[in-house]
Amino acid sequence: MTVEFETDAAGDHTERSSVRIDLPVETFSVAIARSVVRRSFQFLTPEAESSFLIALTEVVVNAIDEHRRLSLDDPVTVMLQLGDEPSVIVTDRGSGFDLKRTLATAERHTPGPESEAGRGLTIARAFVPRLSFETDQTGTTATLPTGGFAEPA
Amino acid sequence: MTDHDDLLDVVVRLGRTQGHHAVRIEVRGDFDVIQVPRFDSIVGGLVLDGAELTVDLCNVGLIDSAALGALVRLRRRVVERDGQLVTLVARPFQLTIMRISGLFDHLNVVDVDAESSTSVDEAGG
Repeated sequence: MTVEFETDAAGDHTERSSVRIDLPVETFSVAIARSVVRRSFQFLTPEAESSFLIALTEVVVNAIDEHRRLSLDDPVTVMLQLGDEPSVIVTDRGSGFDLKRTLATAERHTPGPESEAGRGLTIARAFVPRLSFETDQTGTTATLPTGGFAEPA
Repeated sequence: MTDHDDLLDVVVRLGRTQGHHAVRIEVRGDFDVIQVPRFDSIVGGLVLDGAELTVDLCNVGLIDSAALGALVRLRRRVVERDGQLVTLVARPFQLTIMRISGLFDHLNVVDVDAESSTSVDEAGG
């Protein structure tokens, strides 16, 4: 696992503008991502914390699953943007997905109650409505704005 | 703000209620994809035949879609053995995830806070 810090233009190391973590393709990486976010942000309320971290969990799990599906050893990257418009950005190096179709399907179709899977994206978007994706055949980047949930610590 | 990740804590209480075998599973901490195998292992050893099973999620700080899958599996087992499941929640995010996942009725979710408010109102006449 790699952790990198970037500072502002003044080079002041006490003012980090971003933190980047390269996570191994392991399930426990989800806990690492949450732990770093918990320590880097001050959540406004316990409900805000739970809601945001649930969405983060779903997004990170999807990224890890994508790497596993393609047998990629490359890490999943989590970037914490701590400056203006703070956010958590999760990037995988998978093969992307049809964003429009996937989001439309998620909106129209809820998995049946006996289904054990298929709810992750719906849950993530419900808890962080401003969750956005950029995706192409080289990978997917999910951005979770922390506005309304937390402020940089 | 919590300053540590909450591992899963699962407490199982066995008893009898009006002649029925009652099982109460109290879950605390982060109930997520990492902890689901442990949850499955613990509940997999329970005898659920004809049981009134209560899963208390009131003190869970995080529930993800993998945890919901574990609850779906558990419910299936309980029903196959002629038992009943009740899922207790107390926090707004817990209610939200149950509703948006379409599992509120399927898991027989009860909002503990709403139930206690109703009881107070009724008691007050």
